[in-house]
Amino acid sequence: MATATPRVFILPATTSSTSDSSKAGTSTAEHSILTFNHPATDVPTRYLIHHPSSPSSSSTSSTKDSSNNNSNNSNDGGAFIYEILKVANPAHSPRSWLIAPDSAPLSLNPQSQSQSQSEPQNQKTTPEKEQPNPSEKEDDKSSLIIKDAHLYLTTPLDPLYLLLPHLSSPKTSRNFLSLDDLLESHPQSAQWNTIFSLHPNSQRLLRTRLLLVCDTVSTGGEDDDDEKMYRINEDKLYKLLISRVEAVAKALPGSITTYITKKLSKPIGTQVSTAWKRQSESTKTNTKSGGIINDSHLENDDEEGEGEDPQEDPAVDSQLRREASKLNLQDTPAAAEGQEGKGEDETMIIEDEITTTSHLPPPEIQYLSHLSHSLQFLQPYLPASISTTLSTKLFTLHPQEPLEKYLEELKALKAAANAALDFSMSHSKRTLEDLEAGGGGTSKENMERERKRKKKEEDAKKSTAVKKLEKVDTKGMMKMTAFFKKKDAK
Amino acid sequence: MLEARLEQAQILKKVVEAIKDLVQDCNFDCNDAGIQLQAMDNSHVALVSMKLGSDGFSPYRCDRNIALGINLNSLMKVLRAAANEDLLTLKAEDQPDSLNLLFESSEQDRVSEYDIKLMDIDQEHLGIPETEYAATITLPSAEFQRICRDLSALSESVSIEATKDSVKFACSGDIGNGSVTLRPHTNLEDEGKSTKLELTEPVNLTFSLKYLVNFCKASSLSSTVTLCLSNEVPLLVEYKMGAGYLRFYLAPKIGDEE
Repeated sequence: MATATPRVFILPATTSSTSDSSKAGTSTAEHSILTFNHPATDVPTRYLIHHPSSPSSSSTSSTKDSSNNNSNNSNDGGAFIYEILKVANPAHSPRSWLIAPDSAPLSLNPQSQSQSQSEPQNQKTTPEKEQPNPSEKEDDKSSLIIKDAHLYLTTPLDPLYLLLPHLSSPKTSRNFLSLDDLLESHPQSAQWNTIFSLHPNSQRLLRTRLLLVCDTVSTGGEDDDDEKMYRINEDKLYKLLISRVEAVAKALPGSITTYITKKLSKPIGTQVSTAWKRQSESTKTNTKSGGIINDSHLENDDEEGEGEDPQEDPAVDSQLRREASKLNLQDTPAAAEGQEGKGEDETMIIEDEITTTSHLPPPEIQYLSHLSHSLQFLQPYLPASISTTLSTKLFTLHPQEPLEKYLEELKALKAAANAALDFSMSHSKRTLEDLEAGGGGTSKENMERERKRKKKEEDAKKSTAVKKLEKVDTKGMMKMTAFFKKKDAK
Repeated sequence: MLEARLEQAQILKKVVEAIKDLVQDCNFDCNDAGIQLQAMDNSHVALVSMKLGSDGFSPYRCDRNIALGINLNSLMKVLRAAANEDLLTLKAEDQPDSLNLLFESSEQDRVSEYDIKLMDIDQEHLGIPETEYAATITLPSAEFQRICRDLSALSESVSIEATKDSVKFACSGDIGNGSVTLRPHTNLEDEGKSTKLELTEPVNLTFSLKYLVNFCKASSLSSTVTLCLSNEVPLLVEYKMGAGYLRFYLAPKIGDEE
């Protein structure tokens, strides 16, 4: 990384609550970059510190639009440490930044323009001085092209995560410690001191964060924050973390939830042959409508929506069955008789409930899956030990068995659907008799036949001489690759 | 794009004729140096490497590297439509899906044009190092072809034994055994009928005759053939062409000498 390369950052908004940017002079916030060890990986990582600045210093503004500004303003009360996320410029579609001043209104209202913020990467704690004079700025870099179009996003980070590895380390987790002692023993105590000096409120904020996960003992008066001693309380910690996982799971963005739902959806198994249907059905109805309900009822009472399971699943079943029978893929009657009757009944009962969404996963399964996904978002911020304990605690609170069972079932369904699809595609000309003759092992036999056919086709392409040469006894002869090494593809 | 004109269609005809029984599909790699080909047989014990240098064509133009994946049988079918003395022009786009062949007969004012569909062939290239061989034998290609044909009637494999003053091809089979011994000699009238032998150390290796017979289909390309042998490396059978070569490599048989 060349230190001189300008970089594009999206920074938290200035603390001025007025989004009216004509009063830009009142904005009083600055940014510094500090290095902390990453809580999970222990790798030194840069974090952005957002802190109020003295009124005299010039304002810094960011390249982002005002809608982002507003959303961040609401968080301003609590956040002072920001994580820097790099949105990399993908190698397969190279881009560049073109940064140009918005020229027309420049002369009138220079400070209101959104402008590029170039930030040298060298680690520094002093605020950047930016464009006190608009004309000077224009001369300096009226426009600019940055080769690597990386975008650096800064997002609020709970300072707790930075403290967690230290809090939970054996040294500090046993004794009550005052905040000063706690931070003094922290490997990056200097950085914390810098933060406190930059951001007067940060110490108070940090204490409120600590209260959430720590037991406290007061040595002085009740209200004296300085005398409070902290010790980590694991129950509190995991309660907090789990509540976060749950909150994230409930608020996953639509793009992720649709993806998950798509992954979990049952294949629209119209081509499923009845031969397969009957096999899997007998096992499925037994394991499923039994298994899930029992588990959920025994292990967890506060799981909501679990009770809907028995209705939901047969609905899916009968949907499949109905479609299968629609296709007239009825098997040898003797074997089908018993099942058919049963199936018919169920179909009648729940026919009304069947909707187009019946192949979607049941909501509680979706929620479980969302939980495990949101856990993955949180885990990168946690030290390994905490992260594993968190996942076990979370999964005892929300048992994963229904999800696992559902996934297994889904796998079987998908495999069967694929097999059926292959079958119907390669044998579209075949008649019903062939289907029946194929019986249970259709897909396997099918593949075998396909393989033979392909081999034959390939053989037909070969000349007789090539075929003869293939039959030559090559015993004792090494392959050419044993003598000559592979060259890199040209 | 590629545009290459060959004075005599028979050169390409003979090359393809010689290798089409060894490999079925292969890539013709075209670059500014000429047209090259490298392919292994299905058993991967033999390798053919061909080069037609750009000097052999007039004109030759190839702007960027192009790999022409061709089924050699299909190519042969088209090439059979060309007379030996025809002018042959190969043309292909930069991202070709077909190869255009143009045959021009100067005598008859006849022009025929063919397109061959190309295929995507995933081929790995082997790096073939320059090797100092222990024995290098140059002999008339017809002679080599005859030896291979005669001995293949008796056996599957032949041992080639090179000593300082002779080279002996020997085989033994169910019905008996046989051998042919050649001594170097120089034919002053016709260089192509001479037999030369260069030796740094004596070697004795065994090879599959079926493969050698197959290689001999290239005999019409050149009046002489060069055999290069060393212990524990593949035999090199080289036919030189005007501005290129056709080389065959064959792994020796190790262990079970019959």
